[in-house]
Amino acid sequence: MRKSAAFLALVAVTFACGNASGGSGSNGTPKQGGTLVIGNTEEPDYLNPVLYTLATSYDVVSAIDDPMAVIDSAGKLEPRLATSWDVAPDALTYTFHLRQGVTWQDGQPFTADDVKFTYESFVNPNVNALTTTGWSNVDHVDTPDPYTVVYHLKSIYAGFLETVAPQPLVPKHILAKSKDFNKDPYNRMPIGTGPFQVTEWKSADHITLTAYPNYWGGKPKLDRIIFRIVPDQTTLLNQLKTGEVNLAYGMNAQQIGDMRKISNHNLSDLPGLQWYHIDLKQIGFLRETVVRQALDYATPKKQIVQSILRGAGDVAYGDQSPISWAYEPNVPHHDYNIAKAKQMLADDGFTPGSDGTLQKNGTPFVMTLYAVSGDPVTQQVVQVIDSSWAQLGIKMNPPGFQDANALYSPNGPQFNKNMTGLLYSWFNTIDPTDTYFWNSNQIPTNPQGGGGNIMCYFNKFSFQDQIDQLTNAQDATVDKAKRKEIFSQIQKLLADQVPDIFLWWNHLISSSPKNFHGWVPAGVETGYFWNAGDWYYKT
Amino acid sequence: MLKFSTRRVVQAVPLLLAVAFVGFAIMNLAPGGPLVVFAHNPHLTADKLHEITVNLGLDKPWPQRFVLWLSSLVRGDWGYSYVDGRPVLTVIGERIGATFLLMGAGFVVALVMAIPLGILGAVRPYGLFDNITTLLSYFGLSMPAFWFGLMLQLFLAVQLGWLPSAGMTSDVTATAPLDVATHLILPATTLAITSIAGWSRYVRSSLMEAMRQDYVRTARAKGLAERVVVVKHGLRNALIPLVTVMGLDLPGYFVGATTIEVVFSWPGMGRLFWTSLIGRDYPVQMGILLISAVLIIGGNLIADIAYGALDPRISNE
Repeated sequence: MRKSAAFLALVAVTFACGNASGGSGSNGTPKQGGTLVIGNTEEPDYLNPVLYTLATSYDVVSAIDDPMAVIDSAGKLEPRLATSWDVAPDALTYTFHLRQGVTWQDGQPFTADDVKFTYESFVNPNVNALTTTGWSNVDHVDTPDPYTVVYHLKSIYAGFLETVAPQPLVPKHILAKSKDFNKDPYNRMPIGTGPFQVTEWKSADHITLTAYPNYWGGKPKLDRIIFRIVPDQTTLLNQLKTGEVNLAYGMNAQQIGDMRKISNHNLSDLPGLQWYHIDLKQIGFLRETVVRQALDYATPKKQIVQSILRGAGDVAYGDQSPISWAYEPNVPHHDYNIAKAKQMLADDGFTPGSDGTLQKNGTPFVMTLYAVSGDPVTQQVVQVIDSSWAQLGIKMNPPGFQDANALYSPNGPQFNKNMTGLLYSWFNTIDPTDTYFWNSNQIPTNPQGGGGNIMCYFNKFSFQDQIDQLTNAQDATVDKAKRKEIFSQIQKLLADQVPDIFLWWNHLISSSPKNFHGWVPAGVETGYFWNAGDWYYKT
Repeated sequence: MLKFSTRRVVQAVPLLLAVAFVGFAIMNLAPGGPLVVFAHNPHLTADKLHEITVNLGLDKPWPQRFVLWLSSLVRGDWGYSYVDGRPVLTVIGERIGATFLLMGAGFVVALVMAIPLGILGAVRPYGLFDNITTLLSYFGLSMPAFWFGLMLQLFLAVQLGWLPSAGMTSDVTATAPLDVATHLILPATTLAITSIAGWSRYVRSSLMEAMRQDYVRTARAKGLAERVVVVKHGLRNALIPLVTVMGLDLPGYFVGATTIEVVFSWPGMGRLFWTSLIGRDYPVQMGILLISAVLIIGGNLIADIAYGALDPRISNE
């Protein structure tokens, strides 16, 4: 589904391995000054960290507004506006000690009141904050002195620190006076505490970020960052080639070959945490494990990653990223084997009907695949899988490509009674909870209802009891070794049962000039510009 | 003429109302909605989603929302974007300048190129020049704008480095007219190419028709220079179909050319309409719909008035 910043911001910790672009092999010394032009296909919605819903907004805000602590590229919480924090033994009281001498970009001091106000904004019913997870566990917030904040929780929430500490903060002295928080001019021209401040936002064209000289961490080395909105990926690639754009990130895997050819640039290709999969709705023949396994055998995953993604992805066999500590490599693989898939269906009692379509007990096997429109990669993948499954004798209707707002709506394919497969992606996190995707308590009660286990809207999995037990046990376990053991069992079960077709894990692809240093994408859970204050050119 | 224009403007009011109603109905009956993408977000509770729905007024049935929207509109309030919470007129207003600049340039280029090409084709029909322009016209008409735009970009900007590839300015800190003009060349050319191809065909065929008329023979018989015969007697009569086509094309121009704006990162209305459509940003969609309806009605009115100016026999009273 759509990348959601709030979702990203809330989840726990990330590794990003691999080398940062521009890390080595070039001469020269760090230079003070210079402009970096960043190109991106998406325009931010709000630059208010309480309201934004797009990952791009989160990226820009990560350069202009500091949180109490930031999740760095090693996956550790690194102090920013808090110098330290204590967690009470009962995990119900969190105390943050704030950095002194920090100012908002309008010169006003940053204090504990701002932290408390940020919390109050999140839980204010008149504020269109996208998420309340974590915040809704808070009973009340104390500010015993201007540099101490104490959160008192109603109930334990294991991810509280990783939710609250990386949240960029908003200034009370500006927004408390706002007539309508959701429509305040601040949302477009924010005053932050970070190394850069917004000095211009020309819609659909660019956002100019200018160095804030009084930044608590020292004056940033770059003078200016220009965030250009370039809606077309091919144009963005052309602008990288001409030098009109210096740095582009979140690039399409299919462009990786062209990006390698830009001689004065470094290419960064890091494994990500986003898994692409085809949800198989639990209905009709798709309820049979052997049918889903046959479909898995008939899905050329390695070829898809090699040919369509140009190698910029990792084949997925489960719901944990290969870069996660919870990853279990030894799971059953159903590597591409059309003959075997055909045999499995034949053994299961499917026979070709008069028109060649497989059928069982008089019911023909008819399926439709769906994906969001406008993404050339997923559309090509759907075409490939569609023709591969058609080879089995399944009657494949023409694929349905719709925009996200139609595709995920109550009228969308997830909630009709046909046999369908829907290609989309979820984010999993380094510190994951699998409950959301598979547990029976996450089956939506109605098409508008929440819950990630949408496949089971009509019928539960045949292995539902087993997966419920495992995911519940996982949530109730603190010991990491025991958790890893449970995650292994979950991944083995999923790989065997094939509740959906696991396709691939994404890569984070970016290109930056060779003389530019400090670009360290920290993965999807931290804004891409989290360390913008440390970026510099070498002379 | 004044009476005619007034009557047309008065007639436009019920038409605009009907357009608004049908537009509003279609948008709201289309599958999905502004908050659909958030329905299965792991961190958004059903209660909070309901709060946001109420805050945006989306809990009311659409006919009621239409009445609310219309009554606000009458009072000058066009509503607020669901995407970024800003007033609709501000959101649209920021884009109009860029669109008018691009579309105006494209329109002028098309006009300046199409008429001479059409005349030259009609004067020597089926000659070498005419055959070449005919071939190129078919190429121009059948080629998708996004592809042609990317080819121009690749060749003139990336390979040769003569022109900027996209955007409106090189240096965002200072807007120099010459800089904007160089950024205009590629998108305006791409935009104009289809119109040149189409319009020059209209000029050619309609001028060929006019040149066979009796008054042209008379003009030639009384010894007028061929240039005067073609331009003054032939062309003036041949322009009426072109004016009709241009009148119909004009609003399309000003509402924006989505693909060209996307390919060339031009911050115009076409992109805004596209993003508001896929984001189900109803207030912005309605704003653009109304403005484009006004432009279509206005474009036709201008075409009708231009008929009278070109041919005194056509009366608008």
